[in-house]
Amino acid sequence: MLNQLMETYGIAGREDAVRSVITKALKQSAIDYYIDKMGNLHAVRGGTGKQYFLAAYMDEPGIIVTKITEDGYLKFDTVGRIDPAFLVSKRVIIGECYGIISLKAIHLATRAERETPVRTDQLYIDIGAASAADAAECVEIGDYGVIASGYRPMAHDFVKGRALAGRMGCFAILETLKETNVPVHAVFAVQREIGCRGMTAAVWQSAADVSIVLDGIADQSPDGKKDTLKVGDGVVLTRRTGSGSMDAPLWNRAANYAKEHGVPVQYGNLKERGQEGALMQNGGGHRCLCLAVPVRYMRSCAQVASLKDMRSMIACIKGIIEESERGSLG
Amino acid sequence: MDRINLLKKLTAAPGLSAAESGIAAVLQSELERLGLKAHIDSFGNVHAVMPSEKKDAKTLLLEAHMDQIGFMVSSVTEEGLIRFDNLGGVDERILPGMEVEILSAPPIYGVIGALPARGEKEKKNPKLSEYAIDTGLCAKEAKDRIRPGCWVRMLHKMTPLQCGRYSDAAMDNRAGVTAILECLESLRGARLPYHIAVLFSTQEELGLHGAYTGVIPGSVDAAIAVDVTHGTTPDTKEEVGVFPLGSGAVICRGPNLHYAYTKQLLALAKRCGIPHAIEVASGGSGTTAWAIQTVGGGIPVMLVSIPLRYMHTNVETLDQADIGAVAALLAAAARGGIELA
Repeated sequence: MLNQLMETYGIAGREDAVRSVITKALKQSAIDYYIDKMGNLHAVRGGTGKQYFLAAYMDEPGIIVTKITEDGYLKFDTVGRIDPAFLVSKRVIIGECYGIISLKAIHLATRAERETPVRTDQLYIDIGAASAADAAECVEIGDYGVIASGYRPMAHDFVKGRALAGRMGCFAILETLKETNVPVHAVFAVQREIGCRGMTAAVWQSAADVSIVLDGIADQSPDGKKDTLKVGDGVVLTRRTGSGSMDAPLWNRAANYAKEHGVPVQYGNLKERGQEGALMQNGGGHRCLCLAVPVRYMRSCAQVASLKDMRSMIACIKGIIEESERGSLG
Repeated sequence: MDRINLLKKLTAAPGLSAAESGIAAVLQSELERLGLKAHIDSFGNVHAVMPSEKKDAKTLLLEAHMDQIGFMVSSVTEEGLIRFDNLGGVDERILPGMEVEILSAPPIYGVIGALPARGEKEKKNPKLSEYAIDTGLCAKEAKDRIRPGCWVRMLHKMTPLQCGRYSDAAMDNRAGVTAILECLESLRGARLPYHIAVLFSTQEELGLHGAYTGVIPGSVDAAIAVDVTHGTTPDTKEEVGVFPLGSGAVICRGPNLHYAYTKQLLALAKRCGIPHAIEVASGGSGTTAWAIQTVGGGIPVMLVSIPLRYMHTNVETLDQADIGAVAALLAAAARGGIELA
């Protein structure tokens, strides 16, 4: 199930395949769900008592074709959070056809060209077409493309893949739904990559006592940064994000729970505004906590993260629910 | 075996420069499949001969290098990251997000991460020596299992594109090797005016070493080196010395190459209607032809190339028809289409 979730492609705006994987799992666990007009997938378990809201996202970054050149190459824009430095010499899948993103050979590049960071507008996709007409037979302007990159285990519990934080969040929600029986409204959102469009719509008129947002945070240790969060050292309890401060009682309780139960966690702040921003400003305002898995090479399609951190994310979610049920949380 | 399956088999075989035993074994068995006796010399080069019935026939050598570029582990950091050097010459810009395999025993999978561009005023890309392979291993394990000097290969997969074009690593120069094998296949059972010697050489990317050591002095009357040349891309349209995919056999002219034989080769391509183009090397050709030219007192050498986009990456891209054109030209030459003096 996790493998399938990780292997399936779902660029922002075309999350259908990922949604199918999740709905299948929800059906198997006999959990009710519906899909809203934006394409967000809502899983709902009713009941009395405290209401829990869980948020993850299904989408991933990719490219969109903007032009077919006379020679049959494709110009493109990136969709979502991906750094063009990661696109050089990568394979893309556009519908049924493959393409190559590359640059002229090293032998033909000047030193200045090699030293200057690449920009998306310099790059093009080579699908092998010999002319614009050849290209137009298989690609249309506006078609989406994803970077071909599979999911695979590395040493220990490390894994390599695309969209690791988003999919780990989806998996964590599915596990939580299976292993608890409290009332939950969970949203597997679309279009997080281009500015949390899905969640902004999904939380309209929603309400909950405790809301947990699942996301990712950059581990910059391979770049030589000291005192950074590290993949494998536990899920990150964010104190602050680009959206503002997380709910203090919720955060304290989660931190205490992790300490008492030996759940590995790290502490840090997310610079970016994530889906919690939508929750805090819509639907009457949720009391939020954002749990983030550390991810290396975050803006690439060869990310590295740890399944250990995902397990500690799941343990934290269950811990927060457990504590809340005991009444020790707001 | 058809051209694409053969090419795929050859690009999949490991053969980093100075560690070519994987591809060498595959090529030995491919030559044997063609009914030829093949042997691997002490330097790793693969040799075979398709003999003429005429005992005193002259010998035409068909040569292609079989090694491929990669990396080599230079050190393991205190954090357990793997630093590496170039083995043959890769543009740093293709490194971020690249998947690799460190060829330790057993091999270890890893990912090359990205570093932020540096510089106060003008942002510059990091140098190759600043990049690292991330394996997930902790420092102690990494140091235990990975020695400096380990070869590292880029992970890759043959990708079919439109219009008979294909993309993969090691097209440089498995495409050239494929052309020679295809030529030999077409010559099976033919009455040959020349003995056709075959050499698949090692360590081209490190300095043409296999070609220097593998060409046996006195045994060869003329040689054709087969390699890849640059294919036109949108960012090289204005350059000289790049060739659109589909150009056919690119025949090189210049002082490195034998003047009269090259003229004959060009006339032959015209006569046989084989698609071709002319490349110019005013000095060194940057290929094994440079080595062959002076071996054993000198060998007349020609150079035929296949246009290739994105050379020295894991997504080298070619048009399969160009391999066919080169194979056809080699076969026509071997059948006596050029006259050896």
